[in-house]
Amino acid sequence: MSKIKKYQWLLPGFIATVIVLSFILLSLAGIFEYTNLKLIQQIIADKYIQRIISFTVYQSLLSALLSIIIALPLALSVRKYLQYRIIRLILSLAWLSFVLPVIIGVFAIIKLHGVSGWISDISVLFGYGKLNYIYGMNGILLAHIFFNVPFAIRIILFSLNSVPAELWRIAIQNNFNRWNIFTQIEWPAIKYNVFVTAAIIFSLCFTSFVVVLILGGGPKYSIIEVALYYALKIEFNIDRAVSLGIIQIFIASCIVLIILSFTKSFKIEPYTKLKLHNSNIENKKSLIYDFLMLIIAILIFLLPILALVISCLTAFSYSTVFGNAILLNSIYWTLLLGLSSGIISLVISIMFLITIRKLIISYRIRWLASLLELSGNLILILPPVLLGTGIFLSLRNIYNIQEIAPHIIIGINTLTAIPFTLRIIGPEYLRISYMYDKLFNAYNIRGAIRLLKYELPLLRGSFATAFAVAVTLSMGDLGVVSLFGSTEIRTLPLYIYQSLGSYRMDNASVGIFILLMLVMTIIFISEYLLGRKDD
Amino acid sequence: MINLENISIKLDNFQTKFTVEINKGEWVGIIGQSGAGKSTFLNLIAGFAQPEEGSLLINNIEMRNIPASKRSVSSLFQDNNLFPHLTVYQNIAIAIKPNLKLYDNEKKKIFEIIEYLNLSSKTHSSIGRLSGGERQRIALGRVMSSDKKILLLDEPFSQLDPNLRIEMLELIKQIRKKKDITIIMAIHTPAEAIDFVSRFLLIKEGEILRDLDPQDYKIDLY
Repeated sequence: MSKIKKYQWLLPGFIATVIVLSFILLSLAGIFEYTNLKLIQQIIADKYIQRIISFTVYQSLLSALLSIIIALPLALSVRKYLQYRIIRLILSLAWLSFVLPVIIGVFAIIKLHGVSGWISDISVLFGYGKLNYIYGMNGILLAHIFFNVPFAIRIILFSLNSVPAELWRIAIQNNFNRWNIFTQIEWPAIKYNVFVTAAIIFSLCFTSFVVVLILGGGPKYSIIEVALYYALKIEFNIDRAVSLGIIQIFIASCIVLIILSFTKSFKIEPYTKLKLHNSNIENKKSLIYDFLMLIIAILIFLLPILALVISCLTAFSYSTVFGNAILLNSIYWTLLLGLSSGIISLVISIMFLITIRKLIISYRIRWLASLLELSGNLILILPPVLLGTGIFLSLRNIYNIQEIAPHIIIGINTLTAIPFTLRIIGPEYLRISYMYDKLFNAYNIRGAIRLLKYELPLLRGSFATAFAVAVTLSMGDLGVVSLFGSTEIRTLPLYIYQSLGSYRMDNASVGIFILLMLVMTIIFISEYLLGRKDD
Repeated sequence: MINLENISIKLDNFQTKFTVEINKGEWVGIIGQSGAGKSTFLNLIAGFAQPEEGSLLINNIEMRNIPASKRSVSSLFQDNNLFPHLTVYQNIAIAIKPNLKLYDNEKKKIFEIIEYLNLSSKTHSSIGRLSGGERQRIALGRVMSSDKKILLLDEPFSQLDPNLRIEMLELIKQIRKKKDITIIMAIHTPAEAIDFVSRFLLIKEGEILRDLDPQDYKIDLY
């Protein structure tokens, strides 16, 4: 009995692993049930699939490259003016595009660049016709730049943060010009993170379901995940869906392995931790250049957000919300599914971490701890739409999928959020455990009391951030809900997507406005009230 | 000659008001408690801090509107004086040409400095494996390779052991003689500098409280 008690700390991690693995295995079983050698041969020979793969890789590479090319000069210019509040405000607003649900950003891009968008309107004003460049490769690239450049800027700024103030001063005293500063100070400090960031952006664009689904404009510009969705939901071609699924698993596994090996110590820190020292004495030429960079940043990030806000405000009225039963139903499901997934992913993450902490600190069995962490991250090789496809194929002959759809959606979104929550809470949890483990042991503080009374209050900030990320991620999901949703189960992203598809832009605007408000409320409550953070 | 007249800048707890004259070729020690304004004093001369009021003359030229890059001033800090990705040779060479494309005579000058600093065996070594003393010698090498006539030292040897600190001060003494430069050195352990500086300036709350002859230096300075 005492032996069982001695090892009871293994239980939370074990249960968490079983939960995660059961979902993944269920999905894999569904996919591999339809797989055979002949099908694999067909996959390799199929011209359509070859085209989809090459387009997926091509658009991801191009998006990553363009994002870095745009982010690099912007970040280098912005760094010099970080002491100004307005610059920090622009950075925070740009960062919103990375953390908000993708569908909101896509809508902002449409409002600016769409056929009825601001730029098109200006073209008409000057006597030219309406501009129709948003759908296809242009739209995909525009959206990926809008989403990923702020991320790249943030990473570059924090890499530059590690440059000691003394080196900037030495550079000034030794008359470094702009190129010398770049080659001798900036590039050595950022080069590693630039490559890691490019790899992360590549993987994000590789599975950029919502962007390609809405802005791709049809099968010609389709990535693997979207083609899989079309195959299953529209053509009901299970063979093709399975083929695409296997390819996605293979390529995503390779990417995840590379990314995870690069990003062990990769942290996204709040802007408040940026050093605001400024040793640069600028000449007029570089001031003009920096000003141009600022204008480009405003054009890329602030104009779409401005177009989005104005469109939402003009379309919004109380009667359109309270008189619209479908919209109210969507709000209900968004909150229910989002909050459930967020809370469950936090609980499962902490279960993983309790066991991981004990394995690392008390028993020093790092390989087992890494294995547990890996099982929490396994979802990264199975993007949500693919995971859903597998589960659908496994269960469709056993259950009425419509009846259990909410549970499946919550399950998949929970699993999708776990790698993020683990990454946010994990390092802080281990740091606190290293600091206080001996103290807890000395006073025999253990179990639930240790967790609830001591560790949770210390981890408040990380928990709040993890909760905000998990809930907003789930609330913004479109892929899973479009697979399992129906007229009864419809979240706001699905409502918006359907409104966009049927050209009811006002309905979409109202949906976007409410989703934006919900997400901002969750972020505000989590970060400022629960976590008391300042960024 | 360096001439500060009521140079004023707002710090966290007080407003500085520095007034002092430092002669060409002089070596002055700046002493005072932590937070007294020693580094600010050096930053004002270097141009890294902009005064709100007062006048700062170097060789009778008003410096308030002259940027740091145009002043004949080089600095040596406590730490982070070197570029971690460059070799010993390159870290010294950047003072001549930041793009490191040197003519033969310039290269020769760098090799002579490296030999003078007794670092010949490490000319092309990366700086990662060098000791604290060696690193500061390389930083001094960079000062030697430039033509700047004022050297500001901000507690540069406080992380070295006492014997090494004296050794470094001896080296600076030789460089000063060789290059005829003016040195202003903020220092934490004034006793060690008595034989090197011509006088101490005691700074308290942003003002120069006393001008002390090193030979009159007493332990109850504070």
